[in-house]
Amino acid sequence: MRVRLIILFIMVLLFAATAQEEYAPDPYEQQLENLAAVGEEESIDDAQWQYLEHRRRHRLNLNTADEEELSALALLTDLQVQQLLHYRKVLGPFLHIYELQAVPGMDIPTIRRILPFVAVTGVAVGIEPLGKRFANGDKKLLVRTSRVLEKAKGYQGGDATRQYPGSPLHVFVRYRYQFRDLLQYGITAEKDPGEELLRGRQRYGFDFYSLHFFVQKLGIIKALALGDYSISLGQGLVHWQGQGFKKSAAVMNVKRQASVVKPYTSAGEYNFHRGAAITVQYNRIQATSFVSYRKLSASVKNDEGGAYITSVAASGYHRTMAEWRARNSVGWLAAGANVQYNHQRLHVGLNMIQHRFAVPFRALPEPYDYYSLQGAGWSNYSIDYSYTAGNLHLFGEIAADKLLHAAWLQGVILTADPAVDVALLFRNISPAYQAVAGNAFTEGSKPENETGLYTGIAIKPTRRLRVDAYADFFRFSWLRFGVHAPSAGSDYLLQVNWTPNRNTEIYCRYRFEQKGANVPQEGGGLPAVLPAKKRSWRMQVSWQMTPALQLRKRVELLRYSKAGVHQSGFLGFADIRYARPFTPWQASCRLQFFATDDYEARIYTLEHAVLYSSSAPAFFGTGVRWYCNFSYKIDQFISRLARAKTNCRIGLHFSQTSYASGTAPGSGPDQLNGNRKSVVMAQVLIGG
Amino acid sequence: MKTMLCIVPGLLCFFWVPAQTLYAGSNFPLGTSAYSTGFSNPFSFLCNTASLADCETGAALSASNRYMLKELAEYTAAATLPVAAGGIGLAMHYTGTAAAYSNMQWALAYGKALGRVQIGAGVTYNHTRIPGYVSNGAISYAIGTIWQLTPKFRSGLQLANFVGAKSNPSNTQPLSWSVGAGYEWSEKLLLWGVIAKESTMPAQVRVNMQYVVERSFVAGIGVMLDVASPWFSLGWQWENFRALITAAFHPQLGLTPGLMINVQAERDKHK
Repeated sequence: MRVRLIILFIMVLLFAATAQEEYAPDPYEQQLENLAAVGEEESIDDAQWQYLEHRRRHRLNLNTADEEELSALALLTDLQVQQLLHYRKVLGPFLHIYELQAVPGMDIPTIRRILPFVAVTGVAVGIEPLGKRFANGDKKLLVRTSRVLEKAKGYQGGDATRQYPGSPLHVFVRYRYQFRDLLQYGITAEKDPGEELLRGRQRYGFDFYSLHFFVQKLGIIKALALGDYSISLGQGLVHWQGQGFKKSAAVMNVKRQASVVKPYTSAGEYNFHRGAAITVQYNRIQATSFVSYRKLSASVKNDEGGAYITSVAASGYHRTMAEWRARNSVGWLAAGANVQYNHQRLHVGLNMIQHRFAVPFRALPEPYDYYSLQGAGWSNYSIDYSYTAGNLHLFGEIAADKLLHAAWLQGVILTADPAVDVALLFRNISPAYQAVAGNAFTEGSKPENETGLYTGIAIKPTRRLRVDAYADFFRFSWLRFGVHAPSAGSDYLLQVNWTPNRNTEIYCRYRFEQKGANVPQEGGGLPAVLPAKKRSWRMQVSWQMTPALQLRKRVELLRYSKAGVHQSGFLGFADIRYARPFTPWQASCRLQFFATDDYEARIYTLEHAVLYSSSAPAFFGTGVRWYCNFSYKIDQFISRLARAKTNCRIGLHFSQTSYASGTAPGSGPDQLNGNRKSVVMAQVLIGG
Repeated sequence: MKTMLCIVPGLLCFFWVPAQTLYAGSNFPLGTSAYSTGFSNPFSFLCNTASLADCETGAALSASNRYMLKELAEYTAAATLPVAAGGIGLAMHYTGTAAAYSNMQWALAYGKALGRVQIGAGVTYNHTRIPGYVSNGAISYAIGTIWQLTPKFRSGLQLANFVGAKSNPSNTQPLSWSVGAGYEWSEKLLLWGVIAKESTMPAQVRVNMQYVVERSFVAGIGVMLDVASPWFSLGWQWENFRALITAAFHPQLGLTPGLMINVQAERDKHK
């Protein structure tokens, strides 16, 4: 194995010019890593990636794009969007893409980021009637399968209640038809490792199916969604099902931006609605209404008080007997509305959502769970608003839940100088405030029990230098899971980006975070809550050596301290990507080394496999990891078979992690026997 | 107290020195940087084998006495030779005393330039001897790369021992990952740093500065951040000859004096 490693790395060095892959857009890298660190979830929703790939093929016309379309790129701050629209309104349509440099608030890195997705054309594209949208759109079929080569305990026989009846294969299939931004429909199906397929409990095929039909710009109807869709309201205090970034080196990205209704096309089995949603627009008023009924996988218990939900399973795994019993066990009815008024630089929105569960929630008999969601019905209401005045953008949301517990979020984005941007965000969320699917710009994963002030600043002292920094102070006035007393904390980040030339980008990042954490006391009793400190330092070099070849390396050091006990972590990787324009194949490789004292010193790193597949796993222990991705376009071969011009790309991924000692991480049925974990993945993408 | 001072580093040495090969990423003599063109010396390939790609003919000798303990004396010798398709380097390192603990290493490396990317590979034979207890050897490998990102800025990466050389079944040599960068502010000033991590040791961070005070005098200063250990060097150079006195100070274990001399052909500025 290790001999293969040396061969791999020598190949990387010697045959650099023959290396390759496909990537999530770089601006998201740190945000996705931070998201994984907050939620401790590896997998990443690919909806935004799909959207950007669509935009790469069908560029957004800057002369006709509206605020919502520009915001949907998620590459511009709201202030930049407003300034771009204002510039266009005052000076007329753009004459050339280079004119972007003249827009106040636009800098070269931002322009470079959006360039692959936007264009300047004078011709306005018409809006076809619905009937014509069903022809000449992009059809895309994606089939992806992967598996861990080593056999986990769940597949080795033994205790039947902890065995996986299905194969270790993961299968994901998605078909999507898309006619520009006007019509989209499709089906998604997924089988997780360990779940059955076409046999046993899954005689009818996959464990998870998702259908969506989404049409836009149909007269007064701005958007209509049938089947599976996601709803994002305001700033996420009451409801947010899209990807919601939190703190990261993109210090100005503090405002949530998304369309209220979006089609749902991802493989996640939890965070979406199923039913119908409609948005109508009349002049400055836009109104959205939606209704959804679906079943949740949840653990349900019974006692003298009746049945109640103890936990909702968001993982989507239905393998063991216990997971199968929890599958689709609770009905969830949700309905809501959004009415918004948009005039020039003013936006005001009213949001409302109601939930009804077939089985009620009940708080655990633990002090930290005292304020958690209870009962079979829940509702949230909010007003969200924003206003742009010159170089100042104000936004916020005021929300209340069914029991009138309040939450408030207020933000400011300011371009103080062409070289200095400032962001402020204050949030005050009652410990008793609850939202079923809230996801706002907070320290915690959910908007509850938090008061805090975030300050971010981005300085561009020279064309080649950029300094991003933030400081966030927060307080939890009630107990939290794993923190058995009210606590406070702070989070600081400083990142210096140096771009010595247009092909090289180097950044150094220092982050310090301090939060309360339980420390068990000798002799039992209540744990003490003491500050846990995490310091991390990272340096990354990215070098576009030739138009086709990119080299990248990163080193990250981390130190975690709690109650006088220190843990340290190290992670280093080297990447090579080869993607030559107009050649059918791409490839990429990564070699990584990590060594951490324990789990608390874990380090997250974003990884890419095949197109639309990325993850940000946590690395802990000591080990070496490597992976290779390869993709190849076989358009001609498929076109001959299909007797029509058809795009087809196959993608392959192989990864292996070897742990220096002990066994690969995992527990229960997921425990592997050896110290190695190997994953192979293959994907076919037809059409597009 | 003196006995303790001998025992503690001795123990450290017992566990640490066998774990550090010449290519460990932080075991090269003080004042040696691979991440520059003007400030490199024959020891540079121990920091990163890829630096041999643009080496000059040269030889160097370094001697140091770790914490002023004769049991921890270290001697390193190196020579580099440019060849048609790159450069080769040879080094020898000796630590300890024949009567107690001793460790000897031989290193051979080769580096080659591929445009603005340099690559290198090396092999080390590591022999450890403790009379009456153990005498064994192991071979380990290192590969490295250096990227010339701008005319003044270089960055590199070196991996060592990831083939898992074993001197005996229970002594797997630790993997080492070392990343470094150097910025040549001017012909007189070099700023550089190295971060090195071995799988069994805490990460080591070195930040350094080297400066040509006068045409004949050179100076260097730096700090090993992981142990807050500063070092400095002062040297004299005349044509192709350079002699350096080095000293490092460990807050708990004390002073490590050293001497380095090297002879190196003048750099071909057209390279």
